[in-house]
Amino acid sequence: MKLIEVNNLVFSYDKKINVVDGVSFSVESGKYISIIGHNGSGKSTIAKLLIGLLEPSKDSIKAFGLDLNAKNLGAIRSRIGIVFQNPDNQFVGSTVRDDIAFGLENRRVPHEQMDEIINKFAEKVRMSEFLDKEPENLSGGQKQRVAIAGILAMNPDLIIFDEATSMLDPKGKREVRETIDLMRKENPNLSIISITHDLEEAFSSDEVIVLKKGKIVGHDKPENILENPGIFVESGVDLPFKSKFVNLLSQVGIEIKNDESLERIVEELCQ
Amino acid sequence: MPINFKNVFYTYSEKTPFRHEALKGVSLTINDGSFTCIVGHTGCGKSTLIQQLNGLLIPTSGSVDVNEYHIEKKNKSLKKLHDLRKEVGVVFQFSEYQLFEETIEDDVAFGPMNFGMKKEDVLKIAHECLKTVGIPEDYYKKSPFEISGGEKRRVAIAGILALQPKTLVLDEPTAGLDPRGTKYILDLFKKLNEQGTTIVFVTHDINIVYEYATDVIVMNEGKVVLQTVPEKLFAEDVEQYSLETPLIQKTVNLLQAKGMKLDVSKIRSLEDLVKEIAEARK
Amino acid sequence: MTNVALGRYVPYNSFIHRMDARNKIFCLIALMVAVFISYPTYEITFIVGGALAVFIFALLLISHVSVKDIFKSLRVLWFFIILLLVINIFIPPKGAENVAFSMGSVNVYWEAIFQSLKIILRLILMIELTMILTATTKPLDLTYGLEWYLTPLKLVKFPAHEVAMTISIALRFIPTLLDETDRIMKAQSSRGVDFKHGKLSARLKAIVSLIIPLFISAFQRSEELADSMEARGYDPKAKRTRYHILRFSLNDLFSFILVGALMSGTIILSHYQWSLQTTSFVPWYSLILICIFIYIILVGIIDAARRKA
Repeated sequence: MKLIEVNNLVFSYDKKINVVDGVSFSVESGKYISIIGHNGSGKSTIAKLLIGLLEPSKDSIKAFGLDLNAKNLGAIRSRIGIVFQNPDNQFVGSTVRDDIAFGLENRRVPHEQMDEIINKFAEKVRMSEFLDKEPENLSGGQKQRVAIAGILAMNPDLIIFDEATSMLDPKGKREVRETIDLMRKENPNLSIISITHDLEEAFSSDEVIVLKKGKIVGHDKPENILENPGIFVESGVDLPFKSKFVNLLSQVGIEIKNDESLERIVEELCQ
Repeated sequence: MPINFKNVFYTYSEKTPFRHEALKGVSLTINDGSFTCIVGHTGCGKSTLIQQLNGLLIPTSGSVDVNEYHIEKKNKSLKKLHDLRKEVGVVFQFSEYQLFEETIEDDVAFGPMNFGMKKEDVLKIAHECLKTVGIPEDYYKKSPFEISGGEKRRVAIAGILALQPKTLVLDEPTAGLDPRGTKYILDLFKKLNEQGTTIVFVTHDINIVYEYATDVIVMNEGKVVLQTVPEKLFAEDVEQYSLETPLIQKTVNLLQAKGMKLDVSKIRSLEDLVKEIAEARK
Repeated sequence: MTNVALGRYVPYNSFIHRMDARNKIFCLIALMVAVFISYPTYEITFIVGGALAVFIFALLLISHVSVKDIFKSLRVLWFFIILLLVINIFIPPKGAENVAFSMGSVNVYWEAIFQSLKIILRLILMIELTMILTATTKPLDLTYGLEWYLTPLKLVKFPAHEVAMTISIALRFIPTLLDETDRIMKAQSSRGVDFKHGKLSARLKAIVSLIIPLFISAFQRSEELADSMEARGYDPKAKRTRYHILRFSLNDLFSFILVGALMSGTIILSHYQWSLQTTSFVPWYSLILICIFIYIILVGIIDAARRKA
């Protein structure tokens, strides 16, 4: 089932340069899609358009069968969650508990049910013991996990991660990634759009979209997109380590047949 | 002269309920002309440590020697610390937030002017530094607030370079940049290092240590766990210091386990590794 | 981080911590009235003042506020206290006639000394009271308490909810912005800025180099925060449910009556003096008292009605 259909999406901040320039793609239920491209390629703008923080061009976004416009905005937003880059600037509550409650209050969840929901989702992101902590006493990774809990508590069909791990240290990155894996396992129907610089993450997802100057220059399964290194040269995006390694090897005349994993490549090299 | 820490302790908010001991007896040496990487988890005391380098924080006990400056609690002459800041330039995390002047060139010139240099001389230096960090000439008169995040970061770095420091201290200068921006400024620091500037580089990214460092300091909970050269660090199992194994090292380890003979001392980048593999297969 | 220990919420589970924030705000006002009311003679002033001091000190102990912290906060007041003494000595209060001693040509009156002591006592008690309130009440509850008092203003379209939300977010971001200030100051110090010394023009520039980045970052934060709140379904005009619900318990009723009675007592005492002679008019502060009671009951009714609807 198609959750989101984006059709010829165009957006401009200043009415001169199109930051997003004729982008089309669709998101199916349960799919994990990565969007990569260097800074200024329009990735984050797309995220804001999808959740209606910016106004998309007419009839260009269809979400859950509804046109994204002022009338349907509330209904659409109740099914999409977004985690932004800066962990500090999306922590609304004065404690973890309050922050998870914030979204519930907005959705008019009755007071009596709140504690149960908060406890349940804090448990899911492994933040139960921090429920009464203030944001200034939490690490970046913990704050992002709270943001995820706040979104999961609203039971969304799609979560957008807008460079959600880029300001975190390796430990924080790992924690957030583990949380994402866990929630996908629990709810296979949950779709994810991840805007990221982390190529290893991008190439473990179901589909990769490569953006350049607001246009899609590549959209395919990771293994297919890697067969066309031109896309990467053109868009200025780095290749994942494994592919870089294989490419360099072929430059010195060593051809690798099976580049499924680093172990396989090494095996082939040592034959 | 090398930088020397002798048994440095530092405690925040002493005598309050929020007392926090950030450095617990740190002794280390940073050699002239080195590219020293400091690694460790968030909260291990890295940021506190680098603030001792230009006298922003004075050790609670112990002493720090930087060039001819001897920093110790009982010996704090503020005038001297001011001059020290010209010799040791510190670029903080998310340094783009320190920009405030009307034009980019004025912002870069701001630092040297605080040290009493004349505006005309300073502008010349500012232009040079902007060129070094790769900001095109038609940007000089622009406002620092109308350029992209990565460019702002480079302007902020130019603002410290304009002090012409002998030692450049960088706290996570690549955080939040895209891979292209990261590579650009890393190569910039490497070039500066080759021209003789000592680089002290705080990072979480173990791959940077692998490819760029000449010296490495591993910190944990306010203490120096290890001070060594990268070759020695990566010859061990780095996971015992709760660091990740760099991808290149991982590949080297796999290859060696399969019996390939590699001259590890020659490998600093993926290109080197591929070259060594080609050698070994001959 | 700098000294932010003062007036910060300290999580304990004392009787006062458990009190309803609205009730605590009332009690604070009532006790402030008792502290600031003027009594006919200095004897009564100091007897009542002393009694209040003991009472408030007991409250301090119950609420686990560190007495040491209070003395620390009083340190800032030293200058003020000395200034007060000097002013009172050189410009004696009206009707001062009892000379305590003389310093050269200046007579120091008992009245001047008492007057100064009275003001100092009031100041100390006021600070203690405020600290009890902030140390035992979560900022968020305090905001909700204030919002409750502003409920009637909603009828005249005053954005009480928005104001409360703004205050609670501001409170949430204070530590973040303090950290940011610290970081920017250090970054500029590294560029040779001296925040403590130097000529006026240099210091002005130093402040500009701090303020502009701080504002820019604050604006960016607020923008991102607004985006995030909107994405999470926040609409200031829409109805929301509440996670925090303030509860008026039996303990609250007890303390409400106790403090109310205490305040009434001091008002009566200040007006009727010792002799309990009846006077011909209702004192104006009794009117205030009655107004406060009526107001609280009214707000309670309005609030209950709104919640039902």
